[in-house]
Amino acid sequence: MATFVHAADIHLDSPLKGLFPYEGAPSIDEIRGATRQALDNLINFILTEQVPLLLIAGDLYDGDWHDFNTGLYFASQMRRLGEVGVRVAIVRGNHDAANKMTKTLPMPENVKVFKSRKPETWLLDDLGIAIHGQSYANQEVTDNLAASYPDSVDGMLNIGLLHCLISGAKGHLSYAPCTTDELASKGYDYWALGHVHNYSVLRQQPCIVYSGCSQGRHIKETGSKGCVMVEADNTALKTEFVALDVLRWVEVSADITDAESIEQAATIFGNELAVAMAGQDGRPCCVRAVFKGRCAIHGRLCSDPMTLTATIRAVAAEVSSNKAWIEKVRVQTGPAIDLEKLAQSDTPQGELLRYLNELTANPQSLALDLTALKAKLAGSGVQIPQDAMNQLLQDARDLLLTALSDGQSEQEK
Amino acid sequence: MKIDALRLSAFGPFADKTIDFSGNAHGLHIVFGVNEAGKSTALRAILALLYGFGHKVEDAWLHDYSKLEVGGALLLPDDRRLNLTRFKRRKNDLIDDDKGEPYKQTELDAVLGAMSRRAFEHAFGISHISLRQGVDSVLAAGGELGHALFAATSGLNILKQVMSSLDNQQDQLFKPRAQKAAINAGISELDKLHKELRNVSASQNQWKQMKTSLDKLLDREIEVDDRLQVLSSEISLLSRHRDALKHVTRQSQLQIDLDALGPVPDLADDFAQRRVETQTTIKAAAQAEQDLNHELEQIDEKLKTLTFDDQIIAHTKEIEELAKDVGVHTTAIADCKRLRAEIHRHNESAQKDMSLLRDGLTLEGIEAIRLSTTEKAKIQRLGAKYAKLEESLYIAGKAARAAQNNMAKARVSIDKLEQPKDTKALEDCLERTTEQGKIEQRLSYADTEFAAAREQAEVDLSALGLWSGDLRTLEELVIPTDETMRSFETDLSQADQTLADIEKEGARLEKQLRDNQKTLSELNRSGDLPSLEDLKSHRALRERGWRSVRAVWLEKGEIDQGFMEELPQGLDLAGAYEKAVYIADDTSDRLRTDAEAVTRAQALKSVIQDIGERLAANREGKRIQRECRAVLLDGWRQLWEPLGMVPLTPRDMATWASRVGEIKRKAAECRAKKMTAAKLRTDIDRMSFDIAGRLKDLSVSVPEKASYAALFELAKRTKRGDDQLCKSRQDLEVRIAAYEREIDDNLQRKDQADQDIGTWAQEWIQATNKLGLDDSAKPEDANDFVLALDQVFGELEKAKEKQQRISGMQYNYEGYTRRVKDALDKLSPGRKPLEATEAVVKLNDQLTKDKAQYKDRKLFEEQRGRKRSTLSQIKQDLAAQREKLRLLCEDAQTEKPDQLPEIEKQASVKSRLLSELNTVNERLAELASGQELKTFVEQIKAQDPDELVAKLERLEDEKKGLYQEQKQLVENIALQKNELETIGGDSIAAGIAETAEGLRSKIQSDVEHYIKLKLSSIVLANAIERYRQINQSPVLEAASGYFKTITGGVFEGLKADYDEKGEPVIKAFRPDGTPLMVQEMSDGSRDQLFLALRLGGLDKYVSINGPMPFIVDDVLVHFDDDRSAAAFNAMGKLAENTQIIFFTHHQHLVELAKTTLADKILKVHNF
Repeated sequence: MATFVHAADIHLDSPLKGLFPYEGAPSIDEIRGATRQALDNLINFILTEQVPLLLIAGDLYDGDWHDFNTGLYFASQMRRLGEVGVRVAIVRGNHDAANKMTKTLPMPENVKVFKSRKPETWLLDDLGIAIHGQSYANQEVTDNLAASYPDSVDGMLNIGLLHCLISGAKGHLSYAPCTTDELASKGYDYWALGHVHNYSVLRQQPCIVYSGCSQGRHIKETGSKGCVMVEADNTALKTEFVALDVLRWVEVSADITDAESIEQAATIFGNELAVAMAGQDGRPCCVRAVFKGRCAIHGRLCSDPMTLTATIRAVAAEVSSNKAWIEKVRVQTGPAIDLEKLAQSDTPQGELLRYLNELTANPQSLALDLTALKAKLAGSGVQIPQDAMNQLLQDARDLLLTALSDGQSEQEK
Repeated sequence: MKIDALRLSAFGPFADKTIDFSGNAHGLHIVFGVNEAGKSTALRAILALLYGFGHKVEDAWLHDYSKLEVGGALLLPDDRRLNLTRFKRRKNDLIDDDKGEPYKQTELDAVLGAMSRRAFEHAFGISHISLRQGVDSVLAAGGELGHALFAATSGLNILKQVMSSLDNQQDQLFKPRAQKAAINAGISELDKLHKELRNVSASQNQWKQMKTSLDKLLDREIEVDDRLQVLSSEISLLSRHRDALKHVTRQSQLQIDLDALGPVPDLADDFAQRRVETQTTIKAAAQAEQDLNHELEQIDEKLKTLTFDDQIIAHTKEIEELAKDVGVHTTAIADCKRLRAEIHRHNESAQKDMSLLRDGLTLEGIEAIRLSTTEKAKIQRLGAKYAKLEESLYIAGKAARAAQNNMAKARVSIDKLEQPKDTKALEDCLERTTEQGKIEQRLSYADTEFAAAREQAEVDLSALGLWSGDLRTLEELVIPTDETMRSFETDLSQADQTLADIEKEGARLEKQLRDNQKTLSELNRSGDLPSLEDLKSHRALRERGWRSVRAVWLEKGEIDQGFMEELPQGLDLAGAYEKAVYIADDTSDRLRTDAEAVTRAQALKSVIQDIGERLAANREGKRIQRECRAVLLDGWRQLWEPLGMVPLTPRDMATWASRVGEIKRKAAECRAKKMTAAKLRTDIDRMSFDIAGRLKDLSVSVPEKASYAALFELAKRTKRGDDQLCKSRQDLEVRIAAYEREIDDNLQRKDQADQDIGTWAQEWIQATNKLGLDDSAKPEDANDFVLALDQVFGELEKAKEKQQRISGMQYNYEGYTRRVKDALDKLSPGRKPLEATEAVVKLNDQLTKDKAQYKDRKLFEEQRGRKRSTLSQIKQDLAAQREKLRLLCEDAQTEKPDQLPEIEKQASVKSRLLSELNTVNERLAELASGQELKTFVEQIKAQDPDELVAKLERLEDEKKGLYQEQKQLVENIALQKNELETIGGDSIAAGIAETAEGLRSKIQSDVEHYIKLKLSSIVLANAIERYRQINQSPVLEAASGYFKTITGGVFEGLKADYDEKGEPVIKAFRPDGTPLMVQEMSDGSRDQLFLALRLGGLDKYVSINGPMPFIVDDVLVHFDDDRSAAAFNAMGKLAENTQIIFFTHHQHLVELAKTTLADKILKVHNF
């Protein structure tokens, strides 16, 4: 019986995005170098289970990552596998093709990195496995690589190793595009795919699988991440997803329609968070809190993000036993009062709302000069969210209405 | 909208409190209450009614949280009256009272101008605090016009503060040249992190260079290592040769020395040692043999002197046992003497006691009267029994006598007591009376109640008003029915409403008329606009003039005086005609140039005429309606004429009628209470008579005119006295019977005691007979005799016991004496007889002496045995050592032991030379390192020593140099490896990148917030400016009028102007046209300015959206009376169009308002 592990999109040493240390946050040590820890988990799993073959379907590193330490670390881990006879088959994907490091990195002998010029077949006679693969020559490979993959080898378990986008998948760059039918027509037993970061079995016969990434790195990569363990006997293939991640990204929504204070909103969120954390096997989680519903405190939430965030962080620390980071607090609530009616009223507030409505239709008319800010942010990677102008205007509206109303009440007290 | 009523059903300190704001006009409603009367609560109640209680209620301290209730009536613009009640609950908290169904908040919101609670609060509420804040805000904004209008109209008095706060928050996040602002600081930190990241990131080239350098070092290390190995081997060979040189020389010398020594026997290494040891041993053994023989002789001499008695030694145990008992028997002999003396003393004591008992008694005869224990006990028992019998006899006698005395006393008492009377009838009477309870109190209460009810009814009657007369007459009054009154009320109300509508319409028409006339007059401002009629008339005048000119000029006619009069005086005909021509031409020109204005004026005139007609119709309608109302009122008055009254309004009269009904009910109650009192009084008289009769039957004197209470008390006292008499008699009779029984019992007990004493005397004589006492002896005498007898027998017993002990000791001593004698007979027959103890002591002394001699002899004998054995052993050893010496001589190939030391010396020299030769050979063999020794030695001998050393030194130098290099290489390799390892897979860069990502996300969030704040600032500023542009004119115009009123004409009004920067600002101007900036005005004027702006804003709102109540909370507290009066005037003006509710706790403001405002505008509600 042949066994192997299929992993992809390791993005080794790629930093987690959105984790800003704050007072009372969980210990950073536990999640530091999460992608490395996930790789360690992968290696340890292979050694423990005595799996003889590891497939990596591209994107081992980020394209813009230049620290050679990362490559050396990876090589050292491959050496560990080599010491017990584990073979490793790697194709380069769009990210690591662009990285020079991959071309000069000395890899131990047990590692086979497929060439990019044309597809190759690596025969492992002792295991009865033939692996077909081709690396990306550069970042933007838009040809269908699978089309020119070799024919299957008779009497062996044929595996296709490919970094590609199956046509129709959304939210990913269309590299080496192909269809499952095309892949199935090759007559291979298993297609180990990379590029899409969510685990998914696209077809059972033959098995076409995205293993997903081994560690989520930002809020768009929610849920469990890891590799696929494949066991093949003469009749069938059995796949099993194995979680490797050390930190999970979770989005927790709370409907706070009935909340009358930030504290009440936080309590409702805490209840939802407790439910969400229960399903994460005790792992630390990076949580995005999302508030929904039309509520009386909508303006307060918009105008005082600091208090809101601090309160949510405190509740999260308590509910999760300090296992949850609050990545961001997103307010998607709406005001309880009917702004449309207020906008019709012959009052200054009505005038303000009418003006804002006009601006929403024509935001360019507002002379918002952000030149100085842009200059300051240049090259920092921080973006000015200009495409979300309407949302910003809406937030500004709530901020203003609350500031005027609350400020007045505070003064009168 | 107008608030018609506010009902505080359960709110704050109030329960079922209603403030009625109803009435035809909107009006200025002053709600007056002293401080702490709940003014603020009422203010909150209005907001609670309109917008709900909210989740924090501070007014739930008297009423339960869940029971809070506020109600009210709202008069809507379409004249609908909305009766609402607000409850404290989550759902359906607003109820439409008329339908009993929930009322939607959204519908109410629409009525309230679609404003949130806070916006409403700000827009339609003002307090002295918010007024001051508004002034501060306007001042802070430098009197900026848009700001002032926006703030005043919205009621947002902290506009400037909000704007500043927005700016401050922006500055805290980002400023182009700041360092500490969050975004600036974040970016700096991010830059630092990026630099750090670049520093710690290992580049691929760097790694490759380091790897190549390391590889070179490793290669050189191998080369050096190889050369070192070769060198080591060469140096090793040459070193061996050099080392072997000295050994080869030594080897030759040793061989020469051995040859010179000649033949010498080979002796063992320890030969000399063994030879010396053997000779020393032989010498010592001979000396020891001699010493032992001498000692044995001495021991034999000693043994001859030691002698002892064998018999004595053989009986050691027996003698020692006898000696042990000597002490016991010596003590016993002494004790016997002492005991004999004591026996003598006891006998003497017994004799003495006996002589005291009775004469003639002897020690021998005394046993005859010894009593047994039973006999003694019987005498004691009988003695005790006699004492008890005697006591019983005495007690019985004493008790019988006492009872007889008591009985006699009781009989005397009973004879003295009165005979009781029969009080049954009195008791029945009292029982009946008691059943009536405290009847006098009830009467008094009934009287009081009656008086109070009558007084209340009369007070109510006197307060009724409108009608005079007594209660009875009032009860008989026939008052119109409720239905009739309601009918009149409805009719009159409708008539009033219709009239009000007509008046309102009239006012509206008049306003329209005024407006149109004003517009017309403005059109005519530059001079009256000419009409076509004017043109016609002017042309006609010109024609008339021409005709007159023609008449004078051509026809020599008269000047048309009428024409001349139409024109200014002082002109001649030609001038007049010219003027007429000019006027006609001018009119024609103006008609042409001002055609549009003329048309408008024409249209306005037509409208004015139309309005004039409608006003006339309105006035006619008003007149008719007033007549109808007068007819209705007349009917109403006639209805009340039979009662001789002039009625008030139907609603008031309905209230009056209900009050009359209430008084009638009280009058009826009054009658009922009076009857109750009369009945109680009759009952009291009847019962007094009854009690008096019963008392007289018992011959108790009853005072005349005694009250019911006195009689009742006397009866109770009489009954109690009789009851007491009966009870005393019964007690005495019971006691006499008890005394009789007691006397009988005690006499019986006395007889029984006498009999028992007789029986006792017989038993006593029998018991004491043995003692020989006479019959008269008492129990005490017998007891004394028995005690003395016991003492005699005691002494005799003690003497007897001691005699027995003496006998025992004597017997023991006799036995001992026999044993001693037997022993002496055996050991020393014929010895002089001695006392046993003395003989034993002497024998024991002999034994001790013999035992010592015996012990010494044994010791010497043992010594002798041991020494003999040693001597035998020494002799054997001596022989053996001599044989050993002989054998040594044999080894040394000599027969003379004396030559042995010299032979030993020679053998030693030979052995040393051979040993050294051997060592040299071994070292050479080692240095040959496996090479045949002889060949090796030959090679060495063939070497030139000096050349060898020089070569060796050269090679050593080379090796040393290589070692140095190797050491350096190792260090460098370790260093390089370390460096390579530092870029060998660590994750420092990844950690920094992660920190940078976190920071970037934080900055991103700050940037978004900054943009929101910046947007907010700009939007607010723009909105204020837009608002200014749209509303400047109407609001400022209205506010200007109010300002003039409030300042009492000190200022002429307000106007928009520009400051020195060209920004639009608000300015006040004085009657002479002097403008004043807000900053230049006094505090008081600024307050007035802001109030005027608020009123102006409201004026504009009301004119567009219809009326909305304006809630004013003591806004005039900082105004003096003149300014307050002026402010009331201004508010009164606004109150014509919308309702103003003015809360105050200042009485003088109420009075001021009353003197300032007309009754139809002002309504005062005391709270």
